[in-house]
Amino acid sequence: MQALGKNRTPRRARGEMKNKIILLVEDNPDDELLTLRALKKNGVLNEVVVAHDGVEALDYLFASGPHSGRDAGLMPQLILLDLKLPRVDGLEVLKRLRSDERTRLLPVVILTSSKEQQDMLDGYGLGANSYVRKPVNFEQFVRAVEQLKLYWLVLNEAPPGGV
Amino acid sequence: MMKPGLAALGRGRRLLGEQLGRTAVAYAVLVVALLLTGIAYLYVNHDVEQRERARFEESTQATKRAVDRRMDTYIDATLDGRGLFAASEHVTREEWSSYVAGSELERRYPGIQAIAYAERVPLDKKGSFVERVRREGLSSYDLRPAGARYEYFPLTYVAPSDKANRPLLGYDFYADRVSRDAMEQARDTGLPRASGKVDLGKAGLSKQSGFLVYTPVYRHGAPDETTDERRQALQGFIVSVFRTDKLLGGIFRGEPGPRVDFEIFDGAEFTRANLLHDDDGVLHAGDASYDPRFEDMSTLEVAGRIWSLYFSTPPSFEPGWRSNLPLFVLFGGLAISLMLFGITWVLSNNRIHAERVGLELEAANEELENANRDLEETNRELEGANRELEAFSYSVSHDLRAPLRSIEGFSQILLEDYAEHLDDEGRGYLGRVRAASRRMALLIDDLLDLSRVTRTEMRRRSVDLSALARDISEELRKSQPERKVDFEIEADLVAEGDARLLRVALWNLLENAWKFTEKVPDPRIEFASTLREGRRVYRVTDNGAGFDQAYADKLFGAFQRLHSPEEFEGTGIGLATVARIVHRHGGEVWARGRVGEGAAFFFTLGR
Repeated sequence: MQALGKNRTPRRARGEMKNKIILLVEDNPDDELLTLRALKKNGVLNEVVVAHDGVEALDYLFASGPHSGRDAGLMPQLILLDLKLPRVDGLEVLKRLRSDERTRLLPVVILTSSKEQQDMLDGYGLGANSYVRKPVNFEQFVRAVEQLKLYWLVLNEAPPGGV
Repeated sequence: MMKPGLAALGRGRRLLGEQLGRTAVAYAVLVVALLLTGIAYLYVNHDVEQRERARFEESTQATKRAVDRRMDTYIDATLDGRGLFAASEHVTREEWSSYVAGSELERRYPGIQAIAYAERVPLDKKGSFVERVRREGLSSYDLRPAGARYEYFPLTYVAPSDKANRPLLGYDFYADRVSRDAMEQARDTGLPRASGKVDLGKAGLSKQSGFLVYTPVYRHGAPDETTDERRQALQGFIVSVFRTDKLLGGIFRGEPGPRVDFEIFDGAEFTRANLLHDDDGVLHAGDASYDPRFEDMSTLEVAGRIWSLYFSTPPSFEPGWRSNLPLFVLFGGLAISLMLFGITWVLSNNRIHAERVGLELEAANEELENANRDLEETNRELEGANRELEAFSYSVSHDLRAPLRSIEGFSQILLEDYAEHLDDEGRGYLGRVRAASRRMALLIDDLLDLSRVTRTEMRRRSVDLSALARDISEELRKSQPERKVDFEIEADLVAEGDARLLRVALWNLLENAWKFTEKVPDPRIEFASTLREGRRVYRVTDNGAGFDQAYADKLFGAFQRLHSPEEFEGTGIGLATVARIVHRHGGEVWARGRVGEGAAFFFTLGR
């Protein structure tokens, strides 16, 4: 599979595993920067597509709106999903993903500030694969991202078919 | 809707009306009961009167029968004499005497003074008759009262011929009008006929009253079918002289039964002059002042003579037990009536009281409902506030942390990427920025915990506190594996409560102990319990830094710290969270400590 040059993604990082895209759904530019730095520090070279709200994320995934030209068959290997998002929030995004045949099995890690029990329950209830709370301590955050990379990008076998 | 005051007034009026209504029932009961008592009294009284009267009448009848019977026997005795004359043409004085002696007058007929034979002596034969009697040995015999009459009926034979009766010899009762009527009737009818009351003293007897019974004797063989024939055939009379004083004495001798006082009068008039017999010796008949319970009058025919009888109840007329019955009924009925009245009164008053209590209860209920409504409203408001708080804490949790992360993260990036542009002091400041943001993150988390403790719904169930404590101790050990802390946890401490909240509380207490034993050589933490006054008291004790007991109360307030953050880290919210959890379980929490000698935290969990 080919990385799509014609796709207008806001930011991208290229690396060895360029055929494997990570979709980061994050509205806070600071968090976006910190997350990207943490990924880089952990040697993650995958292309990272960033969506700044739920609508953008869904447009990207279902190749609609600004992303209508995108190859809809190409799905990210991992979605890092914030919950508190403008327009369509993270839980709603998750719900739509899980109810669509094309995105039903995509690994989704909720990456959020919230430690609210209700958020965790809702997230898992809608089919999130992991729930990670962003620590304030940046070093801890880097360690958390390392674990995520190890698990989801190295250890974990993606579900067979499509993706 | 009615105003409360008006409603109370309406209720009061209704109550008064009902009270009158209810007591009216009591009075109605009294009236009815008294009425019934009156009727019962009248009925019983009437019944008793009837019975007493019947008893009295029975007595009078018995008395009358006894008198009748006795008179019959007496009259029969006088008739016997006629047999003597029927048997022989001429009855001698001796025959007469022996006949009378044979009839044992004295014993069997004490009322008969004498039985005599009075011969019919026409005027022209008067002289020869006296001659003849004198010849028979009665030399002084003479006819009395003297005087010329068409016919004489002098007593010829008198028996018993004792001294008392001697004056009778020769006395002619035909001269007496009362006697003459009886004699003529006897002569004309051929039957014994009694005279009216006569004064026997006139005939020479000792002064006493009496009467005479004449039985006609006709000449042997002469026809006596018609009145004229009898008048022709009349030979004389058998005369029985009755003295009333002994006539009816002992008439009831040997007979039991109620006695009545009775008086017998000759003829139809109840006068002393006519009195033949008086049972008690006191004349009552015709005495207007005499008021016996019962009195009765009757007549009796004695040898053609009408006698009047007067009966009355003597004072000794024994009142039977029944005569007390009407009074008994009356007083019993009165007592029962009053009792019924009292009972109804009390019952209706109780009813009224109960109704009043009911009304009060109703009012109290109304108040309670109002209070409930208020409470519900407050509850709704609280729920709203809670929702707001939830939204607030959500945004605190989410939004407040994000800038912290930026501050911390970019400080770190500065340190990493621009270290060479900073001297040690600059790097030191950046380190402080990072530490402060980390502490603030902790603070936010603890605050969220604290608010969550009050917000979340309690789910009570059986919780194994010992297992929880063991879990937490393991977690603490893992967080600082280099520390060696001796945990002593009592086994099988099970309590009712919310597992999650109890975990938070125990976590805070054990973590506290863990923290404050950091600087002692042989740290020891104990979780145990005792039973005090029926309540289980749990405690977490340690041998750590302890605290000044003077500040024990401040321990459980939020943000209260007894140690500086440099000394021991922490936000000062943990114990406030513990206190809230314990209170939500209906329990209490308190602490004992001494600086340098460890601390003990106690808590209970409701009942």
